Amino acid sequence: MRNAFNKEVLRSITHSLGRFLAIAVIAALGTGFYAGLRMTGPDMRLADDQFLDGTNLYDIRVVSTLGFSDENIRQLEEVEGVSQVMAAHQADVLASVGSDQYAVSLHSIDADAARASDSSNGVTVVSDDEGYLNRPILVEGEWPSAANECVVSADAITDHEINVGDTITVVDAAADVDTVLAERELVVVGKIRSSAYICFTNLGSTSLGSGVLDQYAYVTEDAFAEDYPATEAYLSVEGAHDVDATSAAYDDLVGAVEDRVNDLAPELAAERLDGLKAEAQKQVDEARAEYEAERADAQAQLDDAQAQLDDAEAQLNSAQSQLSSSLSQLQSARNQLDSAAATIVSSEQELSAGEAEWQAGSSELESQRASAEQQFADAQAQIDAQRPAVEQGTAQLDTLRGAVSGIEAQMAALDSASAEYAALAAQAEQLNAQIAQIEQGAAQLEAAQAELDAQRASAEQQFASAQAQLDASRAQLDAGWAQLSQGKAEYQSGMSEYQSGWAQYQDGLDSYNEGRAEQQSGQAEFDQENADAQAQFADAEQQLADAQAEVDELEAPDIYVLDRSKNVGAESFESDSRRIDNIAQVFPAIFFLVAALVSLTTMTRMVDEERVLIGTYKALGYGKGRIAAKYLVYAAVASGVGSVVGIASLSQFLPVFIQYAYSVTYAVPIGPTPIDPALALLSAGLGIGVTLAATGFAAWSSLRETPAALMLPRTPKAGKRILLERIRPLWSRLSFSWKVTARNIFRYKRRFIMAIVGIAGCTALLLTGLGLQDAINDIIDKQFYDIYDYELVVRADDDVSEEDAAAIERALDESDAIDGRMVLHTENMIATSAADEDGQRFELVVPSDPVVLRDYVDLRNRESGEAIELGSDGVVLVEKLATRLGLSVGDTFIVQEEDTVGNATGPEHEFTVTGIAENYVSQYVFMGADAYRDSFGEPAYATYYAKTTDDEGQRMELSDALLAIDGVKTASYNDETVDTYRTMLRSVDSVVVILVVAAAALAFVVLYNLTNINISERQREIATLKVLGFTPGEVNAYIYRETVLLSLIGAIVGMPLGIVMEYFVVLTAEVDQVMFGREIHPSSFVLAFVLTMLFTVIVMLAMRGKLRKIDMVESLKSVE
Amino acid sequence: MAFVEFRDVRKIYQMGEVEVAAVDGVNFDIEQGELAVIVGPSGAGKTTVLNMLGGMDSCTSGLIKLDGREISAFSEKELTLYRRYDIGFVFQFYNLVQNLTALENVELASQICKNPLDAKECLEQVGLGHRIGNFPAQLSGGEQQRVAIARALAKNPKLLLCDEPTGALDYRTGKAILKLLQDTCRTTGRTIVLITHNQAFTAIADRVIHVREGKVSSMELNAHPADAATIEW
Repeated sequence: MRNAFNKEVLRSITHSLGRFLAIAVIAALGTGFYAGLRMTGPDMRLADDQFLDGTNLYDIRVVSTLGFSDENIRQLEEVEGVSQVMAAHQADVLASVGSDQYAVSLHSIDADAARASDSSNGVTVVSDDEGYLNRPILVEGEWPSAANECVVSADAITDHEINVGDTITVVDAAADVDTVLAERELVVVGKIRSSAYICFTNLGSTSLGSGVLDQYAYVTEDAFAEDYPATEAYLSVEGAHDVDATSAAYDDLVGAVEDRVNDLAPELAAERLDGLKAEAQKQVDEARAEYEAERADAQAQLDDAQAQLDDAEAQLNSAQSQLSSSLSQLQSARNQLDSAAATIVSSEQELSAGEAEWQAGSSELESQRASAEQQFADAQAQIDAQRPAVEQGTAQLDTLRGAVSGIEAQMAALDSASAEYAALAAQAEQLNAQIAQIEQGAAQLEAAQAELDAQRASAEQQFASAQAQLDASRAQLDAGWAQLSQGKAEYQSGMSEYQSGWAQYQDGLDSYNEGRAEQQSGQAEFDQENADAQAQFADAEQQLADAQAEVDELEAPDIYVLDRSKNVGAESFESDSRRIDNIAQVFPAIFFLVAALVSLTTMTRMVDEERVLIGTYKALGYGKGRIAAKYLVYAAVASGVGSVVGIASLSQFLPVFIQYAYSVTYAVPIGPTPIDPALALLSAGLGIGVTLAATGFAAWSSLRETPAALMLPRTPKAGKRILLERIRPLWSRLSFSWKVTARNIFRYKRRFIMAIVGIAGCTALLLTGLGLQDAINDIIDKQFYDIYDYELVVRADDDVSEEDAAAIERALDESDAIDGRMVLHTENMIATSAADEDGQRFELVVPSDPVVLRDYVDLRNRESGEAIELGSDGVVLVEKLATRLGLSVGDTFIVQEEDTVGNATGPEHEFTVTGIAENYVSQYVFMGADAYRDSFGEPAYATYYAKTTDDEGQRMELSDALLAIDGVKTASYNDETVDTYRTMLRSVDSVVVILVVAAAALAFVVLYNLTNINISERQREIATLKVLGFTPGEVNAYIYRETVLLSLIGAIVGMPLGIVMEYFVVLTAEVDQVMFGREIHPSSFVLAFVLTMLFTVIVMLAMRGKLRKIDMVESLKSVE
Repeated sequence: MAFVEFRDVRKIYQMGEVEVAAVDGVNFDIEQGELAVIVGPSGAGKTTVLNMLGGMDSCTSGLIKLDGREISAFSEKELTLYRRYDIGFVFQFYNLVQNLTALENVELASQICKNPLDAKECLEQVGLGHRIGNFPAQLSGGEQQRVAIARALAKNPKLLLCDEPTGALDYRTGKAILKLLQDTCRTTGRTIVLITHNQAFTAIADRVIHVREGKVSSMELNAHPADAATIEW
């Protein structure tokens, strides 16, 4: 082929390097980006596969809710296709390091195997032990050798870095810590990187703490409690290492084994259940036997005690009856004594009275006797005194009688009726009365004497008998006295006898009372003890019954067979790599399109320039094909060279660069970047094909013309009136250069489209990059500074005691760091809907007061910015969750509780969405207390949101104070992780850099090409203008006005294109728990615009020299 | 003092090791209002003379003066302004801007001048008053050259330079253009320098300058120039 034609082809390349480069560069960009991006995903997966294989990561992880027995492990080993089984302990725990608390996943590691392994290259772990799976890479320090040693992740994102030498204190676990762990204090002796946790930002979920794992750690088997069973079995599948872990072949291979393990699962569960049941039954039986024995013992003791008490009671009762009989005896004795005493007193009184009577009688007698003597003596004296008168009377009697007889006689003499008779008769009667009186006196005297004598005699007699009586009573009295004194003596002795009896009785009574009291307290004590014992028995019975019920109800464990797709890290890495694949499908299209346009315009220009040459060739007899071949070869060489360079460089650079960006979040090391020949060929084919098609199209029209026509200068493309001219007022105001510009823009449509598409692509890429950055930054800015109005989250156990709750509130209120607090109920749950039946994990937040919540969480509509009222029966979802579940306001969805491995469990509760709120990080459902109560019962308010100051010291103090309170699970400041997030998301900056560089390259190629063509095509025009006296500035403006205008139009067109692309990238790149910002900031639009114009200006400045170099003499030359 | 003075003007191109003198000591004067024709064979250096006179190129040595100003001492910037305000140029291939109408092409020049003539009038003057809205592609070669002349005139230049203005035109049209230039010179008193290889044109000139091998071989004044319509070639 060493002929003239070929030489000409070769020279046409070397003589128009600018043109050649334009095609080569755009081809390089198009093919390079396409190949590079397309290979990035597979390269990432290859790196992942090598890393996972190199660390011998399990293919299947089998988890049992009740652990595995040794027999289970053996059963698993026998499953066809399983090459290795590694049983391991795992437990999620809550641990504190310093003042921080973290949810940590604790794993057991075969410490000997770990020590024997070699991970010095930081990528693979070499070990002789085939059964040593999930081999961590030792990054720092050493392997744990004692039960109280551990190694932690070197990459996990924690508030404060955990260093070798720190102590991790386990404070809580899903079960009682002591049943899980033998050691609560674990010293960090090293740091590792595990392929089981390749994503630093998402280690997985847990039922503890805030619901996400913060750290993972490996400990020796000894660190786990002796009875804690192996909870997990890691399986290696035969031949799985030989296939790519992300390939369908791997899925098929592992899937088949997974199916077999799943088939075996019921057997495993049954075996485990039987074992556990037998063991548990044995324990219950032993416990019952023990209980029965203890109970019998206790009952016997009780019975003994009761018997003793009863004895005592009987004794006391007999003592009591004795006492009462002696009391009645004493009482009758007393009565007797009393009556005796009374008798003595009365006898004494009687005797005394008798004595007195006797004395009185005696003295009366004497006085009677004396008075009688006196009387007698007196009467005698009287008589004696009367006697001389009587005797004198008597003696006068005879005189008187004589006198009377004398009167009588006289009388007789006298007439009776004479006065002298009556006086003599009255004298006679007087003398007769005197005689009768004397005679009566004398008789009375005599009678008196006689009576006196008789009286005297009888008195004498009476006194004698009285004296006799007195004497008798005297004797009686004396006998009485004697008797009395005897009675007295008797009484005295009786009394002293009684008193000693009484004293004895009192003694008896006292000791009785004492005994009684003793017995009664004994009885009471016994009753209490008995009651206690009975209660204890009942308790024990209940416990045993419960235990028995538990044993009876013991259900087969749930066995979960999980492949790597259930490993959050592996899964998210793979899906991230798939995202790159998606992006790779779209992005390079823009470059290919521009490549086609650049080739078309460039080659059209080339063909135009060589018009005469083509004519000459034709005239010389070269065929159309041969001539066309020149341009096709030219284009093929240009795009071929570009493709080779582009593919070779970008297929190395892009995968490494993107993997490097991902290495901020993933442990996967940057792997080799083999060139996929098929992809490379496809990409190069596309690039060259597009260029050739454009070239063929460009050359065809010229080739069709006759040689004669070709020899003539091409009739210049006629100027045309454009639409703009119809707007007279505007058009007439335009200067000629604007008019030229306007007409030129519309005259060369290919160039116009190339420029617009290219510039629009540039602007769109810039906007995509900047918008992506906005989207990422918004996550932090909006979430942490707009939506969250609190900084501290304190989580306590749901069943935290009132005192502890009060202590938490006191700690919060007393801290200087706190500006306000509220209490809420939080719970991790699973939501499902018609659109998403797999379910989404979210945190249910029930504020104690929905109104107060407004001060702590800004619930608002993202688009309108309007606040959303929660209300006591409201259910407000965050936007991402609503989107994932396909819900809008008024739709219903299902909420279920979450079990320990994160599956939905329990009854389904239906809720209606009342609002959808803006949110970027984590999935929340905010629910009013009434709505919660209706389905789940009383909310347990045990989570506190608090506003705090930034003061680090006060915060530390507060954390310490809070964590010291029982029942506090975590206390975390949500803004402390912000910086970590920022650092992490900086990986996006590198994506932005790629996009900006790509955009710049695109702009440069397109604008350079455009300007180049414009200048070379209008050399004459430019020379003429120069001759006409245009200043260099005016000449530049004349040409560049068009470039600037095209850039402006391109930039404006690029904005909506950029919005669409950014939206696509954001949606594609978004990860599960995070919503990226949805708005491109105005500043990004401005910056994208400014950068586009800057690129334009740079190209213009660079091309200024070319314009200046145009010689005015060109204007004098003939038209070619 | 003449309107245009060329004194010992040299233009030497460095072609590798060899120095080639395109113009080698040229001397001539042109008076104001004259129609001067510079004539010579291809490669004689006439275009170089035109370039230097038109401010498109500078001389290596010597003195060029126009209206008393020393062009040869002008800086690049001064040359630009000189071209802008003092020179009107008519090209062999018209060099109209394809995307501007006849009128706009004239305005292209007039809009950058200090004392431009009315563009429309200029077009009317060259007999194209009825075609001012047409694009170059819609005009014949002669018409295009008329537009070019109108463009040059509209600048109201001190000197109108024409480089083979009929070179791309047919005989009849060429003659019409020559007539137009001659009439312009006669009626407006504008100084015109016309460059051609065609000896026939010397008849219509007031002054004829013969150039040969980079030197002025002879210069003559034509007391009675012929009318352009009468000459033949």
